[in-house]
Amino acid sequence: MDHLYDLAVVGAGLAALSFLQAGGAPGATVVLEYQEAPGGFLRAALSAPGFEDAAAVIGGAHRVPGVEIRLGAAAVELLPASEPGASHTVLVRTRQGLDRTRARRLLIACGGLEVPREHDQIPGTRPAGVVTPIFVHQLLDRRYLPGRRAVVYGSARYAAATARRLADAGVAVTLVPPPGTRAPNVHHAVHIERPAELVHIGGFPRLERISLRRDGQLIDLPADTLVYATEMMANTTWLKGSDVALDTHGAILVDERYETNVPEVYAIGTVVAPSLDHVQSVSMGRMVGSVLRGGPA
Amino acid sequence: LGLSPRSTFEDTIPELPADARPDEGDVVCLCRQITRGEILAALRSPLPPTTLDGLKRRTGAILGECQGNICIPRIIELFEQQLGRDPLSIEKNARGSSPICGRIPQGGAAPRARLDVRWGDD
Repeated sequence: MDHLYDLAVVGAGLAALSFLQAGGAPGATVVLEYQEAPGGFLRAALSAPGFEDAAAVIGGAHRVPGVEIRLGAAAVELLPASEPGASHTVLVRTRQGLDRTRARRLLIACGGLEVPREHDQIPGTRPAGVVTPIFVHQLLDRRYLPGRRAVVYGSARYAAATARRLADAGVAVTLVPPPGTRAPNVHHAVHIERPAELVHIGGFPRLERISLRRDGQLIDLPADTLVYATEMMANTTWLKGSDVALDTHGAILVDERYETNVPEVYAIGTVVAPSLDHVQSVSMGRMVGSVLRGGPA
Repeated sequence: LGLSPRSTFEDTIPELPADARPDEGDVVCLCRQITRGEILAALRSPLPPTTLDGLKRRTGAILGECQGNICIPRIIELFEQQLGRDPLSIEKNARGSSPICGRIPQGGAAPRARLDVRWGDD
């Protein structure tokens, strides 16, 4: 347990796997991943059009020689090095209990969480059936239906992929892009509304309708499921007390070499630039690999 | 207060006090860092919670930033495993508040899943 690694990577999603696949690991490396499989929360959406880049990275990347990937291992606290040259410690919970992982350098690539309706304080009731995409994907993975008539509120390719997967499972799906956004490319089984603002949620105990506002007019849409797919937020609550500097939204602040304010602690991907589309994760993974091997950013 | 000064500090946090068993230390609720053991301990108690909100109030799971979107499917599995509950019968709170509407029939239209991505050795 007290083995000292050259590098510990927190997260095995798109950014981390891009880093590993590009040959980024600079020595004995351990990857700590909360889920039971690599690929991050994006994994379920990968087969949809628009994710070819991510699917290529995630498809084969975890068989990297010399890299130990620990699945079902959630980082719960970071204790940075107490002095220059000392090692960082990550507290990790696994089935066997709590252990400490020590490493000279740390790469934080733990991604983000989907912003739920509660975070944006959409008014109305709080019924069952108001969820985010990861909930839908997990139910479909287990062959359960989250609803019969769903509205997906969002315009990211990830929102489109979720709508498509629901439609494939036989759910009647309407996609509503938020104001100022454009509908993504979705297949024919998904009905697409013009952009509108979600202003109210109604029904209890199960969702019955949502209310949209467009051009000053209120429109009611019946639905038993609302998939709220507007934004990501950085997954950084586990860093509380670690001195790693965050911006006002909780994303990790890094310099042009992806180093945080704590020496030898780096961060890449959604945890740095929250985005449902993970647009920068692959390139950040490649670039930080170059930095950690002593090359240019 | 009767506190005494300490000269040594452990750089670790104690094992959780819940009646968890040794191989249940993994985290189920990522936002609040609630473990499988903590949830199973609540479900094993003499009067186990009967709804997701009940479990939420016992353990603190589901109460984090993601509002249960990551952990509720896993928690439903633990209800099934520990109490033999049919996943379709598990409700959020009131009657009729189940997060699951039905099963996708075997052999029916399979939803596009991660299966068409190559996962290597696992």
